[in-house]
Amino acid sequence: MKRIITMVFTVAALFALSAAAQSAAPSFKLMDVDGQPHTLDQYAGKIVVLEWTNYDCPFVKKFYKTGTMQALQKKYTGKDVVWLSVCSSAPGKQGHFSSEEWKRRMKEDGVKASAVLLDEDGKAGRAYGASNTPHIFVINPEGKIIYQGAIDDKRSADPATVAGARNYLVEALDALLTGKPVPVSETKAYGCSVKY
Amino acid sequence: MKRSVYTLFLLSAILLTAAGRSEEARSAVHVYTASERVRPGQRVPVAVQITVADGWHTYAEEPGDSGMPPSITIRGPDGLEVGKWRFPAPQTFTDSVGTSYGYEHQVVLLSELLIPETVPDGTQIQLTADINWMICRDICVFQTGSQTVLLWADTGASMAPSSEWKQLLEESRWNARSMKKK
Repeated sequence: MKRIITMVFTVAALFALSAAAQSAAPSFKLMDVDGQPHTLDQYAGKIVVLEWTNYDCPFVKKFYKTGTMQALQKKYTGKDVVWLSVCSSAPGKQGHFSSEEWKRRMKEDGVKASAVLLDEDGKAGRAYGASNTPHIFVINPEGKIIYQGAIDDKRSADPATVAGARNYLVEALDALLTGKPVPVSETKAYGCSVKY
Repeated sequence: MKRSVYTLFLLSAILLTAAGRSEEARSAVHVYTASERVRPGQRVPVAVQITVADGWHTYAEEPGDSGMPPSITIRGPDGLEVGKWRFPAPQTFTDSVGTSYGYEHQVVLLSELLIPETVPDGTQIQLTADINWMICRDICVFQTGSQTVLLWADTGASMAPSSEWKQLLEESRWNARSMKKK
């Protein structure tokens, strides 16, 4: 009996995890820092990257202060990929800014995302099961999540670990853009907890 | 009026200094070896102690749903070998998105250094430890530290652990733990 309970619990725990790869991407409607609405539906037919972010999280800083994230954003938005950074920090929590502060920070770091979307109530974050910053979801043109998890395999906030890392996001996007199967569809995200 | 402005300025300067200090005191690292005089070709126990201010915690080897394990690099003479780091049993921390594993107040990580046989007797051995670690509360802060340790190569060294080393193990309860394991 005890074993069955444990099993049920384990199965339940598995379902409580992030929106699984190959599942339909939950729809959302979120405002960007300029107050413009964005929905997943409006990007149907395109590859969409959702990047959960918190500019004050050291693991996020690893990618922005080295220019790594901006370079990826520039490269892939140039290939018609829609890159949406999403911030689910609740008001008063780390990473929650006014729209002026967002614009200032984005300019300062030269952010090249298509848009930064604000998810103050955490609804979108919870729908996807975004647990960390950074946490990546890649959605194919058919609206399915084809990759979710970490950006790379170096589970550290040390900027020195960016070089030489295996980049799962790059692998997923390059595979998708060239019509090949995605080599790794799911990893465990690492970083700060999302400040819901 | 002028005086009160000046007082205010002075007061805010003092407050800023105080804030600066508490910032620095959030976490620190220290590196210890069991003895200062070491025999070339022998292994010497080495410890990294991470202290963390109240309310903060650092992470275990398997940090769980958030955080990162400390990373330790020790540089020294050619042929220096550093063993695997041993982490004590961690505490569990739970937040809105999951569970992580780590330590409050302080943690002592243990390993062993193999002093190369080629180090000439009577010379000084300089070791530099670079440590990166993460401390978190409601927010996380990435920490980096570096410490230089000087040892002496001595073919006649007893290699007996120093009293400071024994105290470190006792205070960090490594002794109690290893006793239990046996």
